[in-house]
Amino acid sequence: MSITSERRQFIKALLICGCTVCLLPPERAKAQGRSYCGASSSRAALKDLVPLQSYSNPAISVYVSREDDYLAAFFGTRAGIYIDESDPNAYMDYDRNLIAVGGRYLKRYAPQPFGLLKISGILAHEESHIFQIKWKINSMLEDVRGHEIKFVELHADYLAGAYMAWRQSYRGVDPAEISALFFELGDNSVGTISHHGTPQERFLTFQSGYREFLGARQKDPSADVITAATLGLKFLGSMMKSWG
Amino acid sequence: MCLVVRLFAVAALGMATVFTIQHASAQYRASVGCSAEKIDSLSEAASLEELECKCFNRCPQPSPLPTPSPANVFGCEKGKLIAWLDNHGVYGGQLDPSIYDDQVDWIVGGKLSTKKRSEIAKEEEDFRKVYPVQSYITKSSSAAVVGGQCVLTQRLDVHKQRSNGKEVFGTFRIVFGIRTNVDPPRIVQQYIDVLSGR
Repeated sequence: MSITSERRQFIKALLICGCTVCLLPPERAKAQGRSYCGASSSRAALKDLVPLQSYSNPAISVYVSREDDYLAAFFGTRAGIYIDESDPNAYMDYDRNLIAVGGRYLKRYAPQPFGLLKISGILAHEESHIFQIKWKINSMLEDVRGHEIKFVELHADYLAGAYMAWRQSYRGVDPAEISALFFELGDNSVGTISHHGTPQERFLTFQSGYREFLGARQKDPSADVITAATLGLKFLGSMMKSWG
Repeated sequence: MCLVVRLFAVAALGMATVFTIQHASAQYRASVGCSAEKIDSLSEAASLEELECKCFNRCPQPSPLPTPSPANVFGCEKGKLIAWLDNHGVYGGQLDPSIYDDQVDWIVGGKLSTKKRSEIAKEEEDFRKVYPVQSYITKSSSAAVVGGQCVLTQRLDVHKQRSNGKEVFGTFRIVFGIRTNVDPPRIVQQYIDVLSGR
């Protein structure tokens, strides 16, 4: 399938989606109790978040700020990045157009070898959610095969993989190390609302995003995030039976 | 038509916003002294340590090598060193290989090789078969701490006799590099230079 027809398919899917459930405003989605990576209202108030440029470690601030440039260039979205000192992971809040990275996450990964790359990886995942909501892909993937958010999360992993494939034209990427991060992020709480995908599913999805987008770029250097999102939907479509 | 104009306006505004934010973040990075180029040149395995080194010149100092204090065991006194070497058979007696380190830098006539303790023991055994009689007379000795290591330099006259009775005389300079901060001390370097022989 050519990139052009993929793009057509993506737009078609969005239109179908838009005619049915996807036009739900984010507030309503929240009211229904759906949340992923923290589109929840229980997150820190803005006053408790540290703006990136005020973070106590300026080295991390400048690194994340540079990553933000690349994220904006790939995803076409730009959420404000904050540090939530008390959080061990990361989350996004579409309503407030922000991504919050956990201070504990930064402290854990930054000193490790490949640690900065793993910070980039989590940022890519969160920016993927911003992109998904902008294009209402999230609503397409919620409540699929009995999973509240699993396929939204996996699609974000796929997009993060594609972003890393795109990013390696500009900066070094070690796909094995960054894939390992997504394995670590997996959980086995299948059946719960917060289940994001097993370690194996997240690992494979990220890797597929990376690999398939590289292939797409080789065929057509203009392949972009829309291409990646379409490929991601196709990938999940092919995996849903076995992963559902 | 109106919709097209509005879409164009929204797109233009979005682009302008992104440009403004990018400009601001570039300014921020410049203000703290870390350019985009520096960040982009980080290796994929980079950690905070590499980032801080590249951006803020806060590079980890190489952990200082433990400076041996040669005086720990019996100092770097030539009398004590010579007595210690003599007691272990270095001057023609029954050599005790345990005074050598596991790996010894062995330099003969300027040519460096590395010998294991076991190799030294074997060569000594072979050497003794060829020259069953050996005697050494010290002509001069000096000891000094060089690079944290005790160095004993000696000029020796040697008399060796083959099993068939043939005699060999010579003078050579021998330098021992000795770690004296461990117990027992160990020879880690041995330099032999033949000055004359007949």
